[in-house]
Amino acid sequence: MATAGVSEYAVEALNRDIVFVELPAVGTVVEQGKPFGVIEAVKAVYDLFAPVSGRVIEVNPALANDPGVVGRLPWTDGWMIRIEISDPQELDNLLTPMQYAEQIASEKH
Amino acid sequence: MPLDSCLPDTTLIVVKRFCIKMNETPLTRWHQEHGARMTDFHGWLMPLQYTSITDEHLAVRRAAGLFDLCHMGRICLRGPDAVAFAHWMTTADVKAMAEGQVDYGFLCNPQGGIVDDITVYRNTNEVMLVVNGANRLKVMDWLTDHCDRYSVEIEDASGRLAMIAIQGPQAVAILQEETRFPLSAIRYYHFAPAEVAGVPMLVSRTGYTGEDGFELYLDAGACEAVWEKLMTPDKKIGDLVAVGLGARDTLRLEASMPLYGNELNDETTPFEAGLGKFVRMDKEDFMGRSALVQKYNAPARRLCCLVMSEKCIPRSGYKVYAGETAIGEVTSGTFSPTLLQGIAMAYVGPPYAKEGTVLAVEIRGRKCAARVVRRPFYSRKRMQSI
Repeated sequence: MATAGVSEYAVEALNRDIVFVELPAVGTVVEQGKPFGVIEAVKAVYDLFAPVSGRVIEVNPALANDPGVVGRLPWTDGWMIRIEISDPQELDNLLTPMQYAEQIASEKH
Repeated sequence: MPLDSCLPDTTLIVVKRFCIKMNETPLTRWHQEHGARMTDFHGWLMPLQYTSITDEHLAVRRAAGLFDLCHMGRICLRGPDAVAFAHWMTTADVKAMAEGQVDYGFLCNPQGGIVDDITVYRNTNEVMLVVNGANRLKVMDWLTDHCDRYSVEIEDASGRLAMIAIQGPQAVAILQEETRFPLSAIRYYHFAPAEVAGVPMLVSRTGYTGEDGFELYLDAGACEAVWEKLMTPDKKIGDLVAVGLGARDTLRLEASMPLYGNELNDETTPFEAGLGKFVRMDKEDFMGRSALVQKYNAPARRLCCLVMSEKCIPRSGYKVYAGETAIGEVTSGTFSPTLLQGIAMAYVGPPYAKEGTVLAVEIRGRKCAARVVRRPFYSRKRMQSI
């Protein structure tokens, strides 16, 4: 099972001004790299991309009433969906935390 | 920008760094030094936000905010025909205006379309037009192309004359600390010369936020010092917050004030935009009048204010529906930080613009219910009376 959300870097880029999150219903099948939902700041809309393929087995119920929690605690309480991973090999496509940190650092400059 | 950039096969977006020289205001360095996220606004390097759009927005509604508006165009008309020229070119009744008066209005083309929406300042020896930053050069061309019959000097004073605004319920009290001039004597849509923070300036009781406050016109060289003085934190009264263009847009939208390029353009008439009361039809002839007389009673579409009935945020370009029929399009939309709802302005067929009409906005393929409400979305008077 995978838990998907957005990173500290992402919410920082949106200045934590998150006012709306649109997520799929439980049972929806998502596909790696494809949009599964939408995150909106006051003046911006962005797609959310699925890190792995699989069936959505849980959606964070807290976000409907308090989407701002994504901006405050993206790694913990601000999680979005849990996915039943259909192909564990897809995990090889993901960056490690170290690689991700390096990518962010290189994009900043 | 893909938010979840954990995928190596995500398309790598190469950001090209174009070396175009951006216009900077006398305050650009201040904004950068104070952590503003900067943005290119029609060629101007401007602060989008310092902290967050929501925080800055609410600071203006609850206390006061300070805005850098140097990107706006300040155009001064001087000479024997300055008043007559402004009277002909704009929808304002400039001849009837008293010195020290401001009027909102339009520069219209012969078809009645809006070249720009402007404020007109009638001063002792000149008329000043404050025009949109994005339209400054277009308006300068427009004025110079039509001044043949007039003895008038047209000066683009945007460089020498800075423009900042202080807006919010505490704006008067905060600004009063910096001047002996009795600011409460300046009525809404009037201005006066006054010395503020030791600097002579024009103090105008106008704004673009729906709040009380002032727009200030002063020597560009003195602008940063005045700004710094106003932002000094050890004030006795109030908290002043620097506000970027992001919150400026959400504030004006809550006040249902139009933005050129969104609600207004060269093909739109003031009547379609619901701004007919700013066209002084009873004054003598002016540019665009004959076309506007014909379009007065039968605008092809009308601007309306929509509040979303469910949790979703309308955005510019989204289609508006009555049942299954597309009847219009959103021109500006946002999440309203004051009302905590999605709000939008949209052009719809005239029958659908009536208050209370239930419509829908198509958001990512889903039709979300919306209701036409009376403009503005936010009024400080209405809020006080609740």
